[in-house]
Amino acid sequence: MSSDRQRKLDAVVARLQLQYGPRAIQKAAPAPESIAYLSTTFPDLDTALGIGGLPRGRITEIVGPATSGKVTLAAKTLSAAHAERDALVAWLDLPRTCDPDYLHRCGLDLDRLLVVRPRDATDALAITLHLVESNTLAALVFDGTAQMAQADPASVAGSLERLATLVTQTHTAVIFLTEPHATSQTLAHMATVRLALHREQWLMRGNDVRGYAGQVEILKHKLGRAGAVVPLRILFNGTVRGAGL
Amino acid sequence: MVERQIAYLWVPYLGAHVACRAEPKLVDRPLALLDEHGRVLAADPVAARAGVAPGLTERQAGAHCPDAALLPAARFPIWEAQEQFLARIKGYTDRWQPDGLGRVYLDATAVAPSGRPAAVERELLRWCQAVTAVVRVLGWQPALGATGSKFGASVAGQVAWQNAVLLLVPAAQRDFLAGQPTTTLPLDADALTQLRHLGIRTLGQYARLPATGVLARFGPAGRTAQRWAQGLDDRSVLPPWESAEVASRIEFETPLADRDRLLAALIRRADRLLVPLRDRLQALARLLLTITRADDRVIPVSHTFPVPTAAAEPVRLALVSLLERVTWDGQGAVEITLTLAGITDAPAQQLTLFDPQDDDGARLSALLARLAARFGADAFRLASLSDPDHLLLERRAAFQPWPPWHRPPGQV
Repeated sequence: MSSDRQRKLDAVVARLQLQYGPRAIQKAAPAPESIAYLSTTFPDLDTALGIGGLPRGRITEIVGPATSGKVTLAAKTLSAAHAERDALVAWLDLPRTCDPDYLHRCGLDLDRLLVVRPRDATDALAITLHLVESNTLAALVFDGTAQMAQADPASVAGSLERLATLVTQTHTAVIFLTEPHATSQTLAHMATVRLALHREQWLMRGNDVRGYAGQVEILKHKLGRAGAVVPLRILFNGTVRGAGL
Repeated sequence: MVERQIAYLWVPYLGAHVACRAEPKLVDRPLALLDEHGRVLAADPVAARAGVAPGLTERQAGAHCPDAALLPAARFPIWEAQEQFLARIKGYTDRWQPDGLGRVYLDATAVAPSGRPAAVERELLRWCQAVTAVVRVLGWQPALGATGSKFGASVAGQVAWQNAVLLLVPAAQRDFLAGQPTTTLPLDADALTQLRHLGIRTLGQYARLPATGVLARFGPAGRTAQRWAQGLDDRSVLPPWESAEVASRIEFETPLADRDRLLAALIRRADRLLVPLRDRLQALARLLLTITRADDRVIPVSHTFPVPTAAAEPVRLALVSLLERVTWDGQGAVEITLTLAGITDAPAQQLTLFDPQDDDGARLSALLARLAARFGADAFRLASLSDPDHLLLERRAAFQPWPPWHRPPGQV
């Protein structure tokens, strides 16, 4: 662009910024070279995600039916957060199904885990906003998007939009666990990463269930390539052992 | 030339320890002891981690740690403990300087006056261990830091923490200080807040600032603190019997009996005397008033501060209480001599080395305390494994409300 045209453009931009504020018109900044992340502890999935794991300071949604491995994947990601010294994590347990014994077996340090059991989805979202805004947590898991459907949709959408803005100013990875029948359009829109889990088969030894094999599909990825399908193999035998753990 | 060696010996949480020993029931909950003006005098480790620091008001302490028991300090057992503490260490050096409750500077230069550096170091370490051992006999867990300056020794002592000795070669002092937080400096809370807002969190960062800029923004006290941060602290250990005092006389043309006017005159004079102390980062341990009444009767009254101070508010409160103790018998004052005695080094504002606001655990606990009021304490739980091998899944773990003072293991 000639210097004359550049000067004219600069003048127009300056006038617009003066009139509508400096954020009304901005130059597109290049994406940061590295994005803070939490490893899922499943190497194939981390590789497929391209950034090393689930992004921090963003919203991730894990969609899958019951027993597809949503909780295990989220718990393993939280346990990776504990590798950081003094990192605190929270589990927002709206359906009241949180099993500390299982989380502990997934490697979580219960002394650094805050379990939140709010009365309803409205309280849950308000608490999530406060916790995220405090920027004290390495990760927060929100279990119970099905209950969100019972709350006022406008209020839920407003809270999720506010959360999406707030979380970018923090180092907290926010992970929503969603049942396929209870997906939220707003949440799907706000999520940076969406993963879909499918259980394929139980892994048996004799009559004992020893684990399960499934797939993770990257439905959406604003920071990398979407569409990849990664096999997931979770074994449990007293303790939970994912492939490569 | 003999290299100067100064040791700083302190007993963390001495006040709270003494209170718990007198009343064992207090062990079950966080504890903060208040002085006669309702300000925190000492706190136990749990309350201190929640941000309760000496000098906070009762209400501030309650906000930081809602579950803390806030009790008036029983002065006698605490002073008795302090006397015991000082009596123990007097045999180890001629030159010692108390620095508040359970804290003392010791001049260790004479311990190993000459010889090869390794031999001097060995001898000094043996002496430091002997000094801490003699305090440990009392059932306390002292810490000791030693190096070539008073400030370096006090920071080393606080880093050493309980039951430890940290001996620093004077040449390594500057590098050691560079990594320590600015909260170790005895600057006032406003200056520390400004430093935090400017992103200056370590002594190394503070030491590298331009001296003129520091002088302009933080005054002479800030510049003195910067020299200390640079390892340039030439203060010597000053025993109590050598401590300085400043006196000033106020004369009244007609006998003055109006308490408010007397107080206003005293506060104005005290403020003027305190300014140079603050600039030199010094504080007074005692405040004396010698009042001459119109009937020529002379009444001396004095107040000893639990922690040396140069702040205006504690001095004002002390003046109020001193004037109330005087019996006037309908007579006015014709002359008052105000003496700031026991002038010593100002202690750092915070007991803890770490700013509670920098600690995620403390901030989370403070937030949860607020959220619990709105959403119910039951909403925030801490899980634990009650019976990990139980056949029934639901019996393996238990939930309890998130304790406000909960801090994950490893966090100081």
